[in-house]
Amino acid sequence: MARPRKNKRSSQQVGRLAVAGDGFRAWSRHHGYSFFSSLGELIRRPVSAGMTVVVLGLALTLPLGLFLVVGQISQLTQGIDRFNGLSVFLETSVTEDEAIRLSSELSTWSEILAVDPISPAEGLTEALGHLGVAGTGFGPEDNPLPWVLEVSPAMEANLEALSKRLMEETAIEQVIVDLAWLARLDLLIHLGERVVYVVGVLLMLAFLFVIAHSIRMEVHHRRHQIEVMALVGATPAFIRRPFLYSGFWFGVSAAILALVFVVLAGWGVSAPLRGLADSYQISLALNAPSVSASLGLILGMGCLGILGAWVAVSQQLSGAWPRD
Amino acid sequence: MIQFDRVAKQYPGTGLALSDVSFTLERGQMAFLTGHSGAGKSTLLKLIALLERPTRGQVLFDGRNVAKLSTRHVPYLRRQIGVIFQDHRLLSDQRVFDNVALPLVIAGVSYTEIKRRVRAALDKVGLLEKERLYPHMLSGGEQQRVGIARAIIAKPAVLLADEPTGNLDPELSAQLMQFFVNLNELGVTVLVASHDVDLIARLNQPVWVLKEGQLTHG
Ligand SMILES: Nc1ncnc2c1ncn2[C@@H]1O[C@H](COP(=O)(O)OP(=O)(O)OP(=O)(O)O)[C@@H](O)[C@H]1O
Ligand SMILES: [Mg+2]
Repeated sequence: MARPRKNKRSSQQVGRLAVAGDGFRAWSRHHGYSFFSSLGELIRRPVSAGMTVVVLGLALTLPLGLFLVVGQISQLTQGIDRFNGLSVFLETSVTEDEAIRLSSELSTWSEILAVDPISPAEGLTEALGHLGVAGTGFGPEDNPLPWVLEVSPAMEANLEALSKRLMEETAIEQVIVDLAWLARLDLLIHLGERVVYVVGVLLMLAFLFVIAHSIRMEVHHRRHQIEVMALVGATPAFIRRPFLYSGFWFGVSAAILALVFVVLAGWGVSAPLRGLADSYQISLALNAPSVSASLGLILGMGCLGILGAWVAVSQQLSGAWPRD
Repeated sequence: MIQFDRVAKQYPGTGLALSDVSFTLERGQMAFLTGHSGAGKSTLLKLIALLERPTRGQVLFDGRNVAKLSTRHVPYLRRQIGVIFQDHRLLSDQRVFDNVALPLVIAGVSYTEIKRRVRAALDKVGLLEKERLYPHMLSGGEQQRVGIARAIIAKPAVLLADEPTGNLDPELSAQLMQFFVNLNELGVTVLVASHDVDLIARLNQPVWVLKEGQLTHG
């Protein structure tokens, strides 16, 4: 201990320390330190950190899953809009030749994309198939069905105007557009989207508070350490930073976990969902969110984590700061 | 460097710890502070490092009234002062190395530099081979020496030591006090609070005595 002569340089360096590490390099070193010390803190207490992350992940999974489901359904109805055109029922007296002629005439209309004539026989088979009584020996002579033209309207066509115009054709008995059904579905989807937003906002708040609470506990737990750091000259920003990083890590890992949960849930429901989709001859699957959406979610939750940590630390530090 | 002008300190709920203290410690000067237990030695040191605020009077550091210092500037004042605490104040969840490194980390010094200086400081206090241990694995005297290494690592202009020899044997105590004297010879302003009157008497430095809240220059 008593070899002070080796310490000659200290007199010149005295007092220079206050500015020794200013500037960008010091700043980046501080961040490096905070980065690793926050990770170290999480790893040092894996159980509590892990539980927090799981809770956060679950809180995120619900709105995320709902969001994806609603997104899928609304995409699906756009498909329905296009395919489920108009069913044009012709008079029963109309013959095959007349039906075909009418259908090719209709397909020249600008509001119409395509016309698919369905003969009474085809219609019957399909109907019986749906009823599960196919092949019970109805002959063509007993067939009560008329010719039906499945009309796919052009994308920009006004369905109501189109159906009015079709009704003016003498050969056409009836035009069925289930507009009400579509409108109702649209409303339902709209409602679903609203529900997702409301649930999402509520769970985001829960997310924020869970993070804030965890960081608060962390700050409380490290009160003594914080005080010591302050005693040797740490700025509030320096003390706060590792906690902000912790919040960031909480947010990021919770988002990743939620994505994993959603993908797993997607697998879980994929078989029955495919069965359902097949029965409607549509493609329906709980797709995982896109890469960019996932990254956005992860980053967004990271930022939310920082925000939660900020709230917690600022509120706690003012109390923990030694008598200033 | 440090000037007290009729300083009084009263803790909430107790009597006056300091009632009327005035002194000047010039830059590069050294002094010892004694007084019986509870005389207010720790309180006096804490007022300098802004760990406490005076109830009355003025504490000047480098000519500036520390009471007027905004909270934002307090950390920078503290970085100019190395404090050896009576109760060590180590980070219990960090290794000896990281404890000593803390002031340099706060100052944003590069890691290679930190490594070099921490090793040098630990070598100086004879704890180089314990750098990977946690404070609770050390004896009281060893913890004390970690605190000493931390206090001097950043080469502060002022060194305040509160009972630095409290846990050390006589030989180590004498060495440490001599070390402070040598630091002072290198230009560091040093103020040491200690009970060890006999040891202090041998060092040929001014001794101030705190008694009944007042300071007498011995
Ligand atoms: N945080 C505190 N809150 C209330 N009273 C305090 C506080 N710190 C110290 N005191 C009181 O102030 C007086 C002086 O205490 P201080 O610690 O300065 O004495 P000291 O000279 O350092 O004693 P020792 O030699 O035992 O370390 C004591 O009477 C003590 O009760
Ligand atoms: Mg004391």
